Amino acid sequence: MGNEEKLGALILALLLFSVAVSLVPTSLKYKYGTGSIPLPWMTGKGSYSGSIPSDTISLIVDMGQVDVTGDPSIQEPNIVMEGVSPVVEERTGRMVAGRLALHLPDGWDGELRVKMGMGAITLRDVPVRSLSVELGVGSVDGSLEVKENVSVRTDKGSVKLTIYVPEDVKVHVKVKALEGSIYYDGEKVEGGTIERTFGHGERVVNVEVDSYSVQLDLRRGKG
Amino acid sequence: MRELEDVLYRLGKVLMAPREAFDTHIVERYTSALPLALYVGVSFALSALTVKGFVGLLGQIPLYNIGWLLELLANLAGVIGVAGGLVDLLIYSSLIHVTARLMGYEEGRWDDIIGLVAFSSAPLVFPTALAAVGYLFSHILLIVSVVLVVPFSLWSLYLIVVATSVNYEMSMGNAIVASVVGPLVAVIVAIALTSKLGAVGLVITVIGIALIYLERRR
Repeated sequence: MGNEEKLGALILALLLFSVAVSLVPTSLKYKYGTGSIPLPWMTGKGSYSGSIPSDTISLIVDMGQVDVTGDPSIQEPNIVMEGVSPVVEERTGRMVAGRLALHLPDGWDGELRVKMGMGAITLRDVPVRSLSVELGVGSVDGSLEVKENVSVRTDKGSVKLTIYVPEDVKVHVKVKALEGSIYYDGEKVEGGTIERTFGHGERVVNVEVDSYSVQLDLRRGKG
Repeated sequence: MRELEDVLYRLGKVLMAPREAFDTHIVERYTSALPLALYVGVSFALSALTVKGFVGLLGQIPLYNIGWLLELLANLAGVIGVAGGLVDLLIYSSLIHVTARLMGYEEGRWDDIIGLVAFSSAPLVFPTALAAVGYLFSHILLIVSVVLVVPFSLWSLYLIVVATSVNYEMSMGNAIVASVVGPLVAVIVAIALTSKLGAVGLVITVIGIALIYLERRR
């Protein structure tokens, strides 16, 4: 076999290898979330504003900013979305990219779930029974008043929350992070993996956070 | 077995002695099946691997609403790449042919230059294979392979110049005019007219080239 044939065999082998590998579907290599199809040409809108009267609200945003605020001046939850393909389906607000603001009335006793690919989630004095956050890349910060559960998970990001709990509960906290710290009644606990129960009471508030950097300030008196 | 050896010889010869390989392709009246198979394979693999790789990079961010769309596009990228590649091959080869004729070269067939331009994609097999390894194991390798496409495309362009020189029996200098300058001018004119007049500009460009070609052929 001459040099030309050897080089030809190499080219053919590389070509067959490349074509074979390029046939491997992405779903075998990567996991994506699934969802409905809020594409610009389907919704035809860049903004949405309206009430979302439900005790379970889900927010699903691919990229952008989510602001959740406790607002004593309103009677029922209100949502404002500005960006690409904002859609509200029953109790779920969806958007591909942009800014989403959710206002919750004082004493709202519902469950809030937020799923976001990349961006920032800010909570300002948010009253909830339970909060669940799944974030790919970004930050979660602010303050909330919670009665039952808080679960926050980011793939790559930071979490800095002030969590108000009722007076008569104990708080069970699980933190998994590279750098984690918990403040409670003047006490500070630091570490990567922390699992502690603070306070005394019949009822339990569970707080579970998994992120790169976690800073929690647990306070009694609201919620 | 002899047919396979012949295929391997022709593939290797394109990189080792392109002038001889192209000359043999024309003189022996080979069909364009092998070059087209090579071209389709490279187009399919390169576009599919590049898009899938970059979608994979994005896949580290969970896109809940449009993840399915990215995945669909990624899995169709190979087919889209082949379709785009074949259109590109036909247009580019035709522009080379028209330019050569306008320059007064009466030798050389249109279907031969299509095969030779397709054959000239052979160097791109190397960055494509590297992209395949990168897709399987490392995103960094994938990015390196995409960067390497640029120098390997220049090698491919050199082969196209040689192919033009052989097919139309012209000097390398004239081959550069026919295969690089001429098509580039046509593309610039098409872009300029299309940006001003939309699709009408593209039609004017195509009709203009055809009229100039026919006028010179009279």
